[in-house]
Amino acid sequence: MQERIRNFSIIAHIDHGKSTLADRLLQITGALTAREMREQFLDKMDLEREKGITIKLQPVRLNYTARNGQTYILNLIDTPGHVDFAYEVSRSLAACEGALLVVDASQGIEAQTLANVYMAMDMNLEIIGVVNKIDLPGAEPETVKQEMENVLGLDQSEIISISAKLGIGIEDVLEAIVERIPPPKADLQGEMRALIFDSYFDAYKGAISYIRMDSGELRKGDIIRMMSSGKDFEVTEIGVLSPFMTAVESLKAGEVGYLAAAIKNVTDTKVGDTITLAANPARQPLEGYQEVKPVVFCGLYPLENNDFERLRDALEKLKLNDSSLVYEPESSDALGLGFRCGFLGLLHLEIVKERLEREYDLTLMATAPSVIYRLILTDGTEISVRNPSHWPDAQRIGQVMEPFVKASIMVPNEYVGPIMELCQEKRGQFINMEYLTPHRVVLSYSLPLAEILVDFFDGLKSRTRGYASLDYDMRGYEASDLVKLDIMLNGETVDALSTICHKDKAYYRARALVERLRRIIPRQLYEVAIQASIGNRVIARESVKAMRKDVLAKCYGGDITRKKKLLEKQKEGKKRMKQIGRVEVPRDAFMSVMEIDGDKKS
Amino acid sequence: MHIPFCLSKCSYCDFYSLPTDDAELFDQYSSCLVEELTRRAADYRLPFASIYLGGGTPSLLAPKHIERIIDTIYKCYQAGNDPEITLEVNPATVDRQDLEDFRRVGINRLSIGVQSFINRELKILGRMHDSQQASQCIDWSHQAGFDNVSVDLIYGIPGQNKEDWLASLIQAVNHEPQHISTYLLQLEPDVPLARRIVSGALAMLNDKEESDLYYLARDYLLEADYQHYELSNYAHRDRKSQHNMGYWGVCPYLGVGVGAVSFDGRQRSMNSPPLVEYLIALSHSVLPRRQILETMGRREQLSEALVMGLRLMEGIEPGALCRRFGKDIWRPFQVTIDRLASQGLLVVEPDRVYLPPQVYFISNAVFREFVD
Repeated sequence: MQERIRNFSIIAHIDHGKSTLADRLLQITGALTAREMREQFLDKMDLEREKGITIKLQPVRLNYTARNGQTYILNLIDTPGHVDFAYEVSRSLAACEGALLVVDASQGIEAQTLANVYMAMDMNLEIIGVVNKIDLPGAEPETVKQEMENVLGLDQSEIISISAKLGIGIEDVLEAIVERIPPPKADLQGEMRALIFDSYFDAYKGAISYIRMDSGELRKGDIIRMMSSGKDFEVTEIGVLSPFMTAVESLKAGEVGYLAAAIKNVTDTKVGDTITLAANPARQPLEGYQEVKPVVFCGLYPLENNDFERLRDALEKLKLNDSSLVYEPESSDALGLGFRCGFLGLLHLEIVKERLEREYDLTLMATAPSVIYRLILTDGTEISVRNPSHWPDAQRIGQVMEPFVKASIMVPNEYVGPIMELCQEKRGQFINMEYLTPHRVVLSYSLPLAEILVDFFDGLKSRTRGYASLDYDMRGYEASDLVKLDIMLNGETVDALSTICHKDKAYYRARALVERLRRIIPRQLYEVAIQASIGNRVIARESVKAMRKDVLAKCYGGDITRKKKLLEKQKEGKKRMKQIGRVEVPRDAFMSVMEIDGDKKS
Repeated sequence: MHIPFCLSKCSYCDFYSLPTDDAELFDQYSSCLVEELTRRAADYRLPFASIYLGGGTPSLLAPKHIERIIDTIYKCYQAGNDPEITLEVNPATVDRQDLEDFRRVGINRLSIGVQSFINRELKILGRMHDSQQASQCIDWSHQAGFDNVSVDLIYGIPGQNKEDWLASLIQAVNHEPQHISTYLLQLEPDVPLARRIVSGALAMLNDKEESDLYYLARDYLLEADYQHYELSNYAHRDRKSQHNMGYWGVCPYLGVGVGAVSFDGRQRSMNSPPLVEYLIALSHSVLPRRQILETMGRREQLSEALVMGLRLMEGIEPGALCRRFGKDIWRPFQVTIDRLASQGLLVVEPDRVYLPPQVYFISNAVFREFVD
């Protein structure tokens, strides 16, 4: 039976058609009826479908009767394509023996894809090359195959041409999975061990874990033990996802499925942990995952101060689905009580914020994202600063260091110039440039992480008409000449608006920042002075003039209801404002202080 | 009473009215008004303090129509002491004889839609009369014996400067009307003038310019011995609009005609358009369909009393409202009043609360605080 299991992932860049291919596989193997079919089935969250990207992997089990007449169980473990979620790709890959590499026939390989393929190769996965979207007018499948051979060493003749949209070549892909990907090396007799590769919280069943069975057998009713904590739980349900949850009596080595054990505490199912049986525990846990470290931090505050506890609950629940999320309480003079949260990147931040608001009905304010700075103070102590408002006075600071990344930017060679300009603007240092093919290059730069956070992706996109792709690795800390830029509203410093920036850019940023705030702060009863300062020195100022008109000229019998509704609507708008001193500030102002550089170009 | 007909739609108007001059339709509509008045009388036993014929262009109706309507009201309803009976008049629709006839049949107050004494502005507004006709109309009304005449003026018209506005104000005052209403041009997005603004053909004034015109009118009219008694209204020798004072005092009213709104102190309801349904219903002795616009609890009634009452320069009487609605309902509003007073947005005196003049033109900042 284990001989007829195939566990595989799909590696693809955003928009290269991974989710469409997954849909086709579900359809062709009969996992979904036509009625159940909706686009991008495995992108479970509304958010994913809206953004057209996969954030969260959802495993699915397919039954496929191959041309040789045998029926196989194919476990597909979908993967996210965005750099923020690289760690989820590695989790998926660890549960597989093979991977489909899907590349767009008109776009070619992208930087992020390349990084994931290398990861898969390092893990000794069988790679099946697939060129998708061959039906599109600009498709050049042969060129792309050539590139895949040159760059990755895949045999051109084994690369499959498909159109997931039109359903062309899908069976060839399924056959390749069966023929080329090895079955799991499954030890049916050994002690039961299973790897948790994902988990989420279900209001009725408690924590649900997605597991990959490594050895032995797991049955409903078994008492399991979490090897990292030693805690025991009784299995209330196990099953497979085909693609809907289907309960089964047991899961055997090599299989992929889900497990519920009435686990109430969200921290008890740690992704990467090994599950074993309490009655006959394994001695060694499986190799887990490297714990992912958040690199971007921002403050999340409820607009209504008394929602603080609800926000705490929501973060706790979200944390179960998203082990990379970290948070700790903090307080701001301007915003009250909230949490400093750590994320893998800006997209991750945006998604967490949106999920908190949608799924937990919270209204949140986010402060500008920040990286972790390391400061050596004049008295020799070293501190980490992840919240700009904790930045010490300039005279106490000896040296400032900030995180740098090595960025690899893959781009057609006619765009090398614009990319170099962009990297220079972003304080980048050139490392090297390599030709992948005569027309495509990889530019490597050392860049401050903070600069990538601002609007680097937008810059790449607009300067290369979308042809550039980016991947980056953390490189470590380097000294930088950084200062804290404060914002004052009517003379009061607003801690939540402070940002860290490079000294050479401080003036420009300050100008852009006060200008932007002037535009987004609505007119109030009094004039509002906006100033930007470094230390005590004001370097830019603007003002929002006092409101001059806010009146209903006519209010008579037939019209009173409508006029009152107008007032109510205005009041509703006010509720989305945060009162800081006497000034009402739109709640997205705090986040938007980072979008400065983007303004200039647009 | 709503008369939903105009010779043509003005460029800034979003009221329910149809452009027509069909005399037969006016006949039929008048009969329906009479029918509605008759049939509703049983439910409205309070004496009436005022009658207001508005529109649309009620002066399109012939004096005989108006006569039937007023006679019906006196026949079916109990009249209060010397009721104010106002007719809205468009200068383009009447001659001296009409005005005399209106007076003869019982109209005792005219509200004349002059809007401006500058022809360029009248053109932008889509009015069918010029400055000369407007002047003449006011003169005729005096000659016809009306001693209670109101003139409507509009400011904030594209291109209007202080001199233009002052010129209209001076001309209005020179005609010695008992009452002047000055309305800021505020456009709903779907009116023709708004589309010309969006297309860039014309530009609205900015907030400061509009504010300046507002206070210019106030200064000038105070000087000319008019009392500023409501945000947009001025009265000479206390000739306030009794009818509108009723709205600001949150008094009940009966609305008659298609699109007209009635209020019983708690609920607002409207005779639903379209016109044709209204006509058919009443021609068959069926009351027109009424659509409930809102039903207010005690707290909402108080909130409305504040929002409407503070439009008056004399403001509101907190003691009276507290007694009327009870301490529990009143208390949170008192807190809001005190907070606004500390911000300089309200003046609190022992038995009155009112807006300070510098807040008039940003008064929504105050009213908002009293709604939910």
